[in-house]
Amino acid sequence: MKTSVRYLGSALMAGLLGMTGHALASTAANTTITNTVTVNYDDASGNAQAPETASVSFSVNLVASAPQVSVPADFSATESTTYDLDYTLTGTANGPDTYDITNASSDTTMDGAPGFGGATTVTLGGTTIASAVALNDTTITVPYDGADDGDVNGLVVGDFIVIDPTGTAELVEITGIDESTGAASNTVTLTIDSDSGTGGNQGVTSAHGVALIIGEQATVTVTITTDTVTAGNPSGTHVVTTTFTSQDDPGVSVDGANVTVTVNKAQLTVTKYVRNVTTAANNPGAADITIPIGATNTDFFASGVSAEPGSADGTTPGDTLEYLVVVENPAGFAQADNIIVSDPIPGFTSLVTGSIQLDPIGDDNFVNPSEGATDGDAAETFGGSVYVYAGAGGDDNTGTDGPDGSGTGGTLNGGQTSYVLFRVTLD
Amino acid sequence: MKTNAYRVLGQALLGLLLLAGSSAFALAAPDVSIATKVEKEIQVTDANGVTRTERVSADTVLPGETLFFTLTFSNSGDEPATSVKLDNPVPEGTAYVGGSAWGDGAEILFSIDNGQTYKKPARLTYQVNGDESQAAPEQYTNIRWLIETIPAGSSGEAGFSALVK
Repeated sequence: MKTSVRYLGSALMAGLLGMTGHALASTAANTTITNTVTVNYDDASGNAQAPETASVSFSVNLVASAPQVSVPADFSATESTTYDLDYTLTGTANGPDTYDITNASSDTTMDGAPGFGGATTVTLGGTTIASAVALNDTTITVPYDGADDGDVNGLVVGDFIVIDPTGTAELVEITGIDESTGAASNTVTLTIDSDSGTGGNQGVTSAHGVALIIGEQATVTVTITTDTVTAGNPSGTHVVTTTFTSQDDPGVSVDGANVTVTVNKAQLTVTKYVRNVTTAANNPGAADITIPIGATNTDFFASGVSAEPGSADGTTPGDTLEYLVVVENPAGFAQADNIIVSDPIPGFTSLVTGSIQLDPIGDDNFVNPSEGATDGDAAETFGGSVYVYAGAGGDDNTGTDGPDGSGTGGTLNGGQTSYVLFRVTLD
Repeated sequence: MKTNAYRVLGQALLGLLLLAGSSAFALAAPDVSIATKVEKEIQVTDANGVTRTERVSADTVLPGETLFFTLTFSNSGDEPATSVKLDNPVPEGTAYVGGSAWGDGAEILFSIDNGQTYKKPARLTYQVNGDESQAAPEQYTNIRWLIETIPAGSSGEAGFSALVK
């Protein structure tokens, strides 16, 4: 009867403790615990007899625990481009565990799901505090994991660890490990640096009690390759959820907060207009576009312009035509980089020397190509074509690679337009 | 010759006395041995779907688990062992579970100063800034069982439970 009562009490106790088992995870995994009992006794005459001792040992297992996850900020992206997503993880388990990384995406106005790459697993070391840590201590005593190998429950020199990640959460770096005492005392010593080697290591900035968790902090990189935006939309989104699942206990996992990747479509439009400079009457009535050139608003036409050729004997030149090339990156679309416009000079015409003018970013400020001038050196002619390196930062690279049509294109943000003017004379 | 005869006789008598004495000593001594084991409880479901709790050897444990330590003592001598003390420090990494210690015919005392002093739970107090506080079971550092007598040829058990921190 007595035995039965004892078992019932034990069962109740185990039930209560089981409910809070995870919160009590505070002895490091792989710790060996030994129970030792000694019996002292006398004989019938009161003479002390030699004591007897017995012991039994057992080891502590890992209790899987979901790591803390810090996710990257939302960001804007372009189509079919690969980006890094850096996740910072902090272990909260009593020992080392490896977590599988899986990714999912909810996609809006995208043609498909993104591609994922990069890290597929991450291992975080973990242990617990074996002796109270005082303010400014530069060492921490932790349980021995049974192997003198420079690795204490997955923690090695150079690792960053968070002491009491669910409480004080103090981040320090491990700069030394001494396991020489492990076999004898069942504990080892971590030397820590509270300022990551920047000088003036003050030790821990808080006192920490026995049995608090010490978790490794590590950053893993998942890559995402964006898909294409559904036609008719300037942008779409990939809302990414990355999940970290314990290999020790697949029932323990955590989703990182959603990361929204806004994918902007890059969509340049190029339109060419013309006007007859010599004979205004050869231009149609209504302009298709009017732009200020200097102080003069000037009309250009998409079609309907005619021109008179020069005389057969070459004594009378033909009409001069002025072309306007408009490169537009519509508002709401992604930044376009390395924009290069090449425009063959029409047959039976000759380029008017010095007639090229640029308004690289559509600020109504036309400049002539001028080597060394900001945005003024973004045009050249080569092989019967006009090359314009449109947008901000365009450069013909003259002096580097010569006039060969292989300069560096500029950049236009969404909503920006680049203009190019040049004139030809009919032969 | 006389001297030699007495010497031989004396030596023979001394040998008999020593033999008798040593035989009497060996026959009239307690011989206490001790053993300890640790168990934990698991739930087992049989073929009929009936679940019951079983105790198994705790080779590996999880933080938060309750462990059941059993101490088995026996006196294989032919004289009672008296004033028997079983001293068991609460294992590192565990916390004693209040009220769990047991032992047939034993008085059970506890220490909160690593075995320097032992008292009954009600008298285990400590002072913080002059205020006296009752020690909580998880603060116990050692357990002692006082057993008045273990008769020759008999055995017994004691035990306690502890929680893996």
